[in-house]
Amino acid sequence: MSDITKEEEILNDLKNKFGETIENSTIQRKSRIWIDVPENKKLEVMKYLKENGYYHLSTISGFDEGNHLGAIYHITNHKIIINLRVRTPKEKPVLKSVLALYPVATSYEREIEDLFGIKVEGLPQGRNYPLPEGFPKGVHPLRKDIKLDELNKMLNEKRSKEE
Amino acid sequence: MKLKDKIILWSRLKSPWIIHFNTGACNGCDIEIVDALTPRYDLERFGILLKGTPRHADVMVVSGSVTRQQAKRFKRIYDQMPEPKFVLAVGACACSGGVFDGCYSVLGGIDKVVPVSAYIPGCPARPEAIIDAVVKLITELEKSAK
Repeated sequence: MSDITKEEEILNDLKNKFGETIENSTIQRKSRIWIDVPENKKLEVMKYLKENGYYHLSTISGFDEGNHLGAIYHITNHKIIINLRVRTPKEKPVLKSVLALYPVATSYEREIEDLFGIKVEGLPQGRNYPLPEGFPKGVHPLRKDIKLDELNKMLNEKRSKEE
Repeated sequence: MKLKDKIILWSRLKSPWIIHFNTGACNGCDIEIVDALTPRYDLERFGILLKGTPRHADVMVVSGSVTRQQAKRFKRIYDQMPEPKFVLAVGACACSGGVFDGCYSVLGGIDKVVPVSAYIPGCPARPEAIIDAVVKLITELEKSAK
């Protein structure tokens, strides 16, 4: 397995630097590294990554694991993608904004807020994105407990009432 | 029929001006509409001109399923067109919602918002199909006027 030595080097470097902070890590294949970090250490790790050439936040994807919601930050130096996974409890889902490090994150974070209902601290107020205007508050379509048929029925009833 | 009405009908039949509106299409149908309008298929030989404003248009050519965000704006643009007005639904999405039907942000076909004169199925609809619909619309108009 000589083709992933570079990835192992990067991961070892991160582990030496942050120790216990890196909770769980895998090298999925060549140029794909997955690490889990706690929410309060996220910005520290990201800052270190950015200083070391990982200047591009490719996207942020959200996930719903039942008890936990979370986000995966896909950060790349255009050769290797590091996927930072951050979890937050479902009762009170809050993530800190990464706008200070990656200004491009505005739309991704707004999307996370709308579709998963994770409150992003430090994100400026704005209109719904990508959900349409007037979408009911507190409904987040990409959560696992949302039933699409019921949601559509509710939205159609709301629309016919407004007309 | 008075001479004035005859002239109006003649001009209406010989030069239906259109406006193209995208209510949330994937751009496939938009490309086919452009294809139908440009010299290869040349809808202009029927006197059809693409206009930039709904106030100048007789026919609205709509592609794409209506998203919930777009529905209100779409209705408003439709209301700005002068009477008599016609709507062509181009593509499977505009006819029924297509693959996007049932999504939380999609309302469905455009007939949920405005009345439709002709449906053109296909994904995307071929330029020949669009031309066929246009010709049918004009002949129906001609028949109904007599």
